[in-house]
Amino acid sequence: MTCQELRARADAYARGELDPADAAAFEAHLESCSACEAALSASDGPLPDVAGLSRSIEPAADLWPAIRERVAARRGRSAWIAPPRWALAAAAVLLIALSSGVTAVLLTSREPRAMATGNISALEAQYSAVSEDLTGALEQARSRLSPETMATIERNLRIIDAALDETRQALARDPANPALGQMVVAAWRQKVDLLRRATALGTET
Amino acid sequence: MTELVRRAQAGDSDAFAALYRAHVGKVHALCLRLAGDAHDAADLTQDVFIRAWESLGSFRGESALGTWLHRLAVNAFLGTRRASGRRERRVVSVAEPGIHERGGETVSPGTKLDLEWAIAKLPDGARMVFVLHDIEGYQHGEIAEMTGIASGTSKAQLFRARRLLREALE
Repeated sequence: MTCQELRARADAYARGELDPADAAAFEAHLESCSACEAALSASDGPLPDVAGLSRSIEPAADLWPAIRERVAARRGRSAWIAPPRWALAAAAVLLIALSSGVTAVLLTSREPRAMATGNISALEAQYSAVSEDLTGALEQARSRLSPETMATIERNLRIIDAALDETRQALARDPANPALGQMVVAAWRQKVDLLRRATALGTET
Repeated sequence: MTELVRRAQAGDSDAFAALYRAHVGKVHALCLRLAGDAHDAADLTQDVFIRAWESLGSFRGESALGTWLHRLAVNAFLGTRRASGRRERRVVSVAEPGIHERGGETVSPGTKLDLEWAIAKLPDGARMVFVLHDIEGYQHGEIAEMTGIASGTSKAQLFRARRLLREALE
């Protein structure tokens, strides 16, 4: 494949429309042609928004108990037997895992972009139920969190609630706008995620 | 090599737990984006730390522990991919990750949420290269070494990923 042919077929490669032989030739050409690599990079360079993505994402549920059990089962190390603090926190952990599952199901079933406005109320009701359960668990964990941590959590919850209210009002004024529905659901996701992380923090402390 | 690593290598489970707490977020972020599925990512993250425990004795400290764990994650992902074959997956990224950990940020569910979804929708090969190159910072030569694909394939897949993402986000 020549440089001219590669650049002419770049769009088709991106869309997955080249046959396997041509796709392989496209890739082989880039192995050694820095001019074509630079040309493709010039037309489709790095996306600026990537820099804003989180480099660290905590799992929705704490994976450590399962890891400890699996390692203990393989090695038979007595040191890996669960300490009492985990047993004491079992109920909260279960709730956190359950809420993660519910959130995952909600997200699996509807992509934000494709979500119909009519579904928002039903989704809000489900998120609200999860949120209430987690709020109750967080209240029970409150004594194990520092006042500064609780203040930070509550401040962030207020920010999310304010955003939620504002977006909900905008949606009421413009119910056919799918972007607003997407924003309502995204705000609920953040609220549930914050509550889950905060509750997990309280059970580990 | 840190004292925590030495203690974990000697079988100290508390030290290994501390290492897990320190690194799980970054390992899970990588697994989530590679797998494109929250449940698979959780399984993958578990596998990474179990592999880490089992092979920690071979860690000599030539690289940072985080780098070593990332390599384990990529290997675990490739092993899973080989075992299950290629199949379409959709992300179930549970919440916009980490937004509250960076402090002072208000809710901004638009761009980053869309970008995470768009990354998850990329074809497997393009997604893997994009995550490793543009998010994790590996060079094409390193990606080729880690994954077994040619560096030309890595370059082509990166171009494809960036093009598809731009189109998806327009």
